[in-house]
Amino acid sequence: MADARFDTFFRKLERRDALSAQERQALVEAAGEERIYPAGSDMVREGDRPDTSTLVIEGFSTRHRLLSDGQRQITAIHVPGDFVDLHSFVLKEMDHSVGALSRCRILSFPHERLTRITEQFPHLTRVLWLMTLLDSAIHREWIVAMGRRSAAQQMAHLLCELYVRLGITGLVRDDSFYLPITQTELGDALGLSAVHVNRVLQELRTENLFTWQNQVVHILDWPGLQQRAEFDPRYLHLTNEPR
Amino acid sequence: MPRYFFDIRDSHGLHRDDVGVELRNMEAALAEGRRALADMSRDSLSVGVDEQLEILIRDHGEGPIRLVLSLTTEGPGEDGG
Repeated sequence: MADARFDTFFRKLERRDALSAQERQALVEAAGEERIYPAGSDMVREGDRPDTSTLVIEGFSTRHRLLSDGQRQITAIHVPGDFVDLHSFVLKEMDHSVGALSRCRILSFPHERLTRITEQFPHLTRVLWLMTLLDSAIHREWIVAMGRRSAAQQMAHLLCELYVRLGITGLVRDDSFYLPITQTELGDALGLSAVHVNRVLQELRTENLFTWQNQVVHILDWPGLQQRAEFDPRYLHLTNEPR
Repeated sequence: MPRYFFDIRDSHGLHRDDVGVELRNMEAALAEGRRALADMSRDSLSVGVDEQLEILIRDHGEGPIRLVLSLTTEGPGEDGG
């Protein structure tokens, strides 16, 4: 039984490993209700103890932490097909919030159904485990970028990463992808001031690597952008192999 | 929220900001300007050249307010003397 709502998620999984028909069916059956979150709203808040995990089927979202002085650090940008709080299934208490960058359509997975999957489908369990490991691999790469790369490289690196991640799920058309993020939000993700984000974007624009207009990023020179960012997609683990 | 514009002057010349950033008030704009200078100096440090960085904060009423940060290396051998 094909359920289009799972397309991006299955593409993401199948880029890394093969899934059997029974495994797909188990995931489809584990899905609970569908919900819509408007842009700017929080899906889960720091301190919550959710009893479901959230698969985003449409829209962009973030993981973030708020500091006491009102500053925000975005620690991850999630694209459609990402299971944004799969770790809450095991961690129980949220140590950060998940928010909708744009309008998000989600499927919630009750934790007791995920428990059943872990009991009945060991391989599928490992594939879901892989999803949270990919999240941490991306976090590591962001730490490297934030700690050691120039702001322009960091920005170029983020665009490379999103281009690859969105490409896997079929959301890149003619080297272009939709990216609903403001310069302030970009600054919160890169750990930079909005003013410097602005300056860095202007600097990169003169290098003719990409254009960015009306929330659409168009990659003009993919090898050039990768080189500028020193981007190596190894951390995205794009090999299809038994997990 | 009012929109503040941040013109930047560095070794490459003056970059006029036509986009601006929405911020609560001039105090928040100053904090943003200071953070931007810190970000910019971190980038120029990695390039290894001395630089003077300057931000002019404009809004429609007050300003401009000028923030300047400069890094100068002085010492033996720097001037050939």
